[in-house]
Amino acid sequence: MFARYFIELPMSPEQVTAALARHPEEWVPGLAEQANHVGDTLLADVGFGEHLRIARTVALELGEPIAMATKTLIPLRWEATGPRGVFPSMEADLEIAPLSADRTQLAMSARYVPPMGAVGRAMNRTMLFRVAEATLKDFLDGVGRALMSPTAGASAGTAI
Amino acid sequence: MGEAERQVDRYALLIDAGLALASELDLEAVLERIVELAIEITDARYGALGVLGESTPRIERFITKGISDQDRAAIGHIPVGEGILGLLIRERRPMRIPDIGADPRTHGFPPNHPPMHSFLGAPVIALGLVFGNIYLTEKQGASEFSEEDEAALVVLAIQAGVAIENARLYAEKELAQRELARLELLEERERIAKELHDGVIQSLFAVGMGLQGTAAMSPDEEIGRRLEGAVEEIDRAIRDLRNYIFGLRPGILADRQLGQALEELGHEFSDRSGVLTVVDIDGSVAAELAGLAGDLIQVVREALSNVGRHADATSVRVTLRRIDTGAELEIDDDGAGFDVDSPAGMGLANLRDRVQAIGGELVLESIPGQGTTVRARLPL
Repeated sequence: MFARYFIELPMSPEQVTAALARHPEEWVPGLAEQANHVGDTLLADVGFGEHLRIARTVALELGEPIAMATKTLIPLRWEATGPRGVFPSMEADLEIAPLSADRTQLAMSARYVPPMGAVGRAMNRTMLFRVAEATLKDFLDGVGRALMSPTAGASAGTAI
Repeated sequence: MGEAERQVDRYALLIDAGLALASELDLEAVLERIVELAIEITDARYGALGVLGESTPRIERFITKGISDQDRAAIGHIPVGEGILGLLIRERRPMRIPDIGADPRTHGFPPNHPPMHSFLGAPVIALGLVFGNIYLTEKQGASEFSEEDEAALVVLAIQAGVAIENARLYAEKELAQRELARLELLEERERIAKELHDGVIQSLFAVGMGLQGTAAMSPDEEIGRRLEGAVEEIDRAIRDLRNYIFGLRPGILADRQLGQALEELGHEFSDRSGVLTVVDIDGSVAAELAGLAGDLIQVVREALSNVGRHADATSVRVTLRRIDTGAELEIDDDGAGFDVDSPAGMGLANLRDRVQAIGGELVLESIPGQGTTVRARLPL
């Protein structure tokens, strides 16, 4: 199944790319355990909801950034480490695409497998796809906030 | 045959030898041919070429003619370069000895060595350095080698040096051409990968999203299920394409060779962790393992990650070497170590699976308080 979400950042594509190339602890929201290198597995909490938050700890794996003709993308995937509940495993590309010299679209194109087999597939139509989309939105919004924070701005060598 | 005729005959042999060596571009074949020609030109019974190490003036290879494989095996280890052979290595000049056994500088022969008396030797110089020495023994038809034999051998040694230089340059050129072709192939794969991702996958993703939305809106259960089936098919196609694309472009290896990538990994780990990291790579082994580079990088990355997180080590050594059965990739730390039967040891299952998946075997040695050694043994 597919899900896609995007945000726009008032930063240049170069700034966003540089910030995302830094250590994951500087931009992955909900990071529970540090990794030593891109390619290592991280533990992070993903979920949705601010007041009544539903979340799971997932094993998150980040790939190396890849420069494409029109954008740069960072492959990633996550999978719940314990009982999955309604949380799907997710495989996605974090896409950095220029909108202008100082605006960047940060998008996630994700593919997921609904949990609970055939039952999950049936539930996906009514409910689970909302969980997937909400989780994706929550994660990407968190990335956006981290990139826009003064600390991230400073580490990317910019003043936002 | 008179002396003048013998000389003419020898000159003819030397000319033939020069032509024969000049036409050969394979270094191994050149070395074999040098020994054969030296025997032929000097009427020796036994001949050998001792190839010196690049960093130490010791014999590393010993190419022989006139002695059977069985006799050679019975003698055992190749000479390391002591006694008369060592003298030639040190003095770097032609040397002629009537009877080796009577010479006070000899160290004698090892057990099972055939008897040898007369001796003639000369250094072979290639690219300004002593590549090795030609050793000849047991002059046929005379009790010792003559001045003419020595002069002829010196000429042959010069020709041999040029032939070795040629063969090496040719090998370097071949290597450079292969490397160029490899880089061109990588560039082409990279271009295809980008086109696939920017074009095909994006289109499939858009179609999949559209069908998924239609399925969600469909009031007909059966149509909804069929549309979801189509979405799953598209999902599978995207997954296969992604695997293909990212398989073609194994991250850190995108523009580096395995050896370079491992060294960079070691530097990065050292900078990040403060653990002194030494990387010792046999370049020829790394070249042969290029096809497994992505997996080997990941093995080292995981092993170093374990060292950084658990070992409390002050140093770690990453070694890629050739062994009798193939290649060995070793990550050896001086950290805390652990009981390999403990859950910590079980945690290395990923590494073991990865090595087994590429046809290798993972060997783990660790003793609490004495460090850990992880070895991946791979066929070549």
